[in-house]
Amino acid sequence: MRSFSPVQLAALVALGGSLTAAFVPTFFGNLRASRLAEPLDGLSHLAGRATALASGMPLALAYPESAPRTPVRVPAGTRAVDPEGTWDHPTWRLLDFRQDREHSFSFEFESRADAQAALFVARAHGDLDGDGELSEISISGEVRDGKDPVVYPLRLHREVE
Amino acid sequence: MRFGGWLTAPLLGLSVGLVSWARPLVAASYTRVTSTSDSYALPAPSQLVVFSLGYRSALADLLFGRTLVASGIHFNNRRVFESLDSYLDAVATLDPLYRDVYYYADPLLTLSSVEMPKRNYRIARDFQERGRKLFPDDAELWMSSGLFMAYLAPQHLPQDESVDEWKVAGAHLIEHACNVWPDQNKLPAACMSVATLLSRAGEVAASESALRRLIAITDDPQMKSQAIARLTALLGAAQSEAMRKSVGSLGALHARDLPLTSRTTYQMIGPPSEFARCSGALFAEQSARCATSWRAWSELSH
Repeated sequence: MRSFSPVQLAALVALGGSLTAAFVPTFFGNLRASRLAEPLDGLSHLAGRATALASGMPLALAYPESAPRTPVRVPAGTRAVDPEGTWDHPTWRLLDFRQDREHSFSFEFESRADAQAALFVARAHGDLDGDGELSEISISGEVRDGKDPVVYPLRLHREVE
Repeated sequence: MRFGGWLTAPLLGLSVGLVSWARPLVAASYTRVTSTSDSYALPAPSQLVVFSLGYRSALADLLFGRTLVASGIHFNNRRVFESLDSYLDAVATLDPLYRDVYYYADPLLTLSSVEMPKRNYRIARDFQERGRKLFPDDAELWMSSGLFMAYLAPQHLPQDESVDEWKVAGAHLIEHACNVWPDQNKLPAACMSVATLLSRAGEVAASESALRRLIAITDDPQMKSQAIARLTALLGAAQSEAMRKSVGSLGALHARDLPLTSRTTYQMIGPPSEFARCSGALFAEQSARCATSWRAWSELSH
């Protein structure tokens, strides 16, 4: 067996450390970035279904009732599989929305209506780096009496990790 | 040797000094360039197929993963991903049956933390169209495509696009998705919106046809009664009463004949025929009991 000299070992450790320091954070950053497809797809789904429901309905019944953040505990730095019954709220069923596979984001649906308009806001909450600070991405839409429902652009309320 | 040693030390010091001076400048300009502009770093999709050396699906998978990462980074940095469509096109050319490219095309191209270019809506529609041709029975893909065209895109379209055309095309896609939806007991509520979209666009006959089709295919009693109510509003009570009777008698026949099958399966099997009564040219009964198709059954039973 060939043994390394102290200088060779030092060089090896320095090189390995540098590469690890450069690539590991980049890798995890990229992994988190790739997970942003989940909230985009989820919010697009919710906005499309909610708007379809509102089409041709009276204002008071335009959007489904509000649904709380589901699952309540946002997966922290990991992907989670929800237990049976997590997505049984009538609103999620009406919107045909559920997360059957591992996922990183929780979703929330809020709606309200008055005599002039009805509106909805769908939110995705995530904690991809597991630091306890939640990121929030939302999409909203509204329908006014006698007009077609509209959907507004996506909003990023807090920086995504 | 001694001279060489004297020379090496200043040269090494000078190198370290020059690198220390130049590196921040180069790094700053590199960061500025990479954070403000995009370039498509791959050959044309047709050439990429050759470069894959036959591993087309593997390369498509790798490229799609890389595209998702880049899209997420652009989202975080609040930047438009300018060459996103080129990457998606490359993936779809490498592996045309890569469903996710078509399914995620509209959220990736149109939803971001900054306003995306209006031309992306047309690009997303074209991607979805490519996908629908390859996956004619993928109800989820057709539904998401229809909802995008009918509801999500119209208010953001450029001026040279016809909003009405997008809505009507979207309505037809939703209608198709409902027709091929795997579980007729749980049709999406969006199926009900097709008639509204079509009647608002002035296509009353198409709207009526959509409602009749929905009434015929759904096993969900609530959706059926809502569809009948909308048909009544569209056609008037007299015509919808005939439809209600037809649906009622078909339901009764189904419950009597093969109650454990779904309505869709039952409608595919056809009406029950009593062959002992119906065989023979002279004595055959001309009644609904001898009908061999639903059309004949419908004509003979009313």
